[in-house]
Amino acid sequence: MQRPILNPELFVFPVDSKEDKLVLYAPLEGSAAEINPDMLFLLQNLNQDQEIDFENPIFKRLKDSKIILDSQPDSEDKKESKLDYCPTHLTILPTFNCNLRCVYCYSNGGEKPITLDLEIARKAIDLLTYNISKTNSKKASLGFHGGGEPLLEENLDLVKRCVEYFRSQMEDKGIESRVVAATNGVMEEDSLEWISSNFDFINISLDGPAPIQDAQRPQKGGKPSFPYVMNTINFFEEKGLDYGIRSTITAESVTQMPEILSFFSEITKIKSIQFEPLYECGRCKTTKVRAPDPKIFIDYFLRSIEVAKEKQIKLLYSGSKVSTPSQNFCGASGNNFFLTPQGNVTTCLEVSREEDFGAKVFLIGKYDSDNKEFIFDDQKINHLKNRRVSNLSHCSDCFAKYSCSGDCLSKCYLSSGSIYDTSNNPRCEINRQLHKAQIINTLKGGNKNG
Amino acid sequence: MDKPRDRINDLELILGKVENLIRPIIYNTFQLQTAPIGSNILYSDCSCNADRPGCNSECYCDSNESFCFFVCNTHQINCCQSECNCDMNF
Repeated sequence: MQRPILNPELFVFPVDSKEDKLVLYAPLEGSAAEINPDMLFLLQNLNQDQEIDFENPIFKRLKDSKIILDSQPDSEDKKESKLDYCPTHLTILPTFNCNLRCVYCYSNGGEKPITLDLEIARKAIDLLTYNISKTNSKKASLGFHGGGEPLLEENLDLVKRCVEYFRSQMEDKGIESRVVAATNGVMEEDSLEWISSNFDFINISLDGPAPIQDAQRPQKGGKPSFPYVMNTINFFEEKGLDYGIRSTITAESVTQMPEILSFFSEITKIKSIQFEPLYECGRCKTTKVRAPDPKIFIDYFLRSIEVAKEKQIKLLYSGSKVSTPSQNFCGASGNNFFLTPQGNVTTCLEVSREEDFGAKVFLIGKYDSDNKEFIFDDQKINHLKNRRVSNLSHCSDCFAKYSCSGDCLSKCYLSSGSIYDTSNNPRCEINRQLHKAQIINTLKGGNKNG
Repeated sequence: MDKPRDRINDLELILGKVENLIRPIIYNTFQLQTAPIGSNILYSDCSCNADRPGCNSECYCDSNESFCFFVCNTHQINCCQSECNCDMNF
């Protein structure tokens, strides 16, 4: 006989509106159990004054799944993070210029088209090389992202020089290197040849069939982009370059999500696709393009899951990461090293311009051209690093908190004025409902041992 | 949005009337079904190249671009970098 200790991070929610079946969820233990109200009542009334028999099959199973513990767990309370900023991955934003005029662009790509100076890019790679030596890392990666379109033909020479310099630096030190990019996929044949030979992975933004893609992601002059993106995808498939597709879902396209998924499965060999609901910012202010209603997004995402199963495609959404419970949503929490066209260092791709609303939070460093070195603001870095789930009061009693990890920092900042205030984030309900569906689906396919 | 309340003793706030849930406890009528939900990255042993005992890793996924980093919190270095292997297939 032993005294029971209930797992301190234990949550419960009803399976459906009938409320006769409940899910007990211990996210940090990676376990969930379907229970009935009797079990809930028993657990709610367990206390440390009573002894229970762990040989009883029910309690044994609860103990095995760490819903009931036999000793106090290690505390993961409100920690002050004191991590050094020592990134070994660099993402370069070569330019704010862009050949598309996406109606929702968070960066207003193509406007004020500043391009990065090669010297600054090389200094960033030097700093990366230094960090790799300092940390004894065996792997490093270099990425390219917007701002604007990172692989624009007119900037490709800058990208080539960066890749060559990075590869040579890593080769000298015996470091395994990886080069990746996120692109709109509208590019010339010569560019495609070079990219296929020199990149390890490309993420392509493509919102759906031609009518959706061309309405949401037109070229600068308004011409369609769809044929060019498909040409790029076909080229990469022929060359065997690994790529992914990311689709932004708007109020206009939300009810077509299952069809978009089917369409991609028919015309590409894609194995995974990421659907993200539009967040209204940037160019949305002038185009008036709207985000999908969260309830409708949830509904059609769940329908898309069925299509994904049938087509054997992995369906991704950033706000619900069931297999990787984490204190941090992404590297915006003070670990990213994103070099902007203006020579600033940001931790968030959605905040890259000095005039951006979140600049005072996310721009953590700047290239000092006089001393030819990067200078960083430790106070800003610590502010970001301490943005952990444990420090988010609104999330403290939410079952999904280690899955969405407090969600996107910049979107929280835009909605509430603080990266620590998650209460106004419109993605919150999406994150909770989709995570709930993940758990219930896992249980349906799990081992029945009751 | 209202503050979520999903902790075990908060359930009445979700369901309204907790007394409706209480039925006679008969052990062998419990419908207990357990399944592993993913892997425990947060408290797992770190598989970083530094290979130092007690090293914890966390996944830092940049959702915008499918890049993924594993950062060792204990030893304060970026220890593992890989593509995102998040098993988010529903």
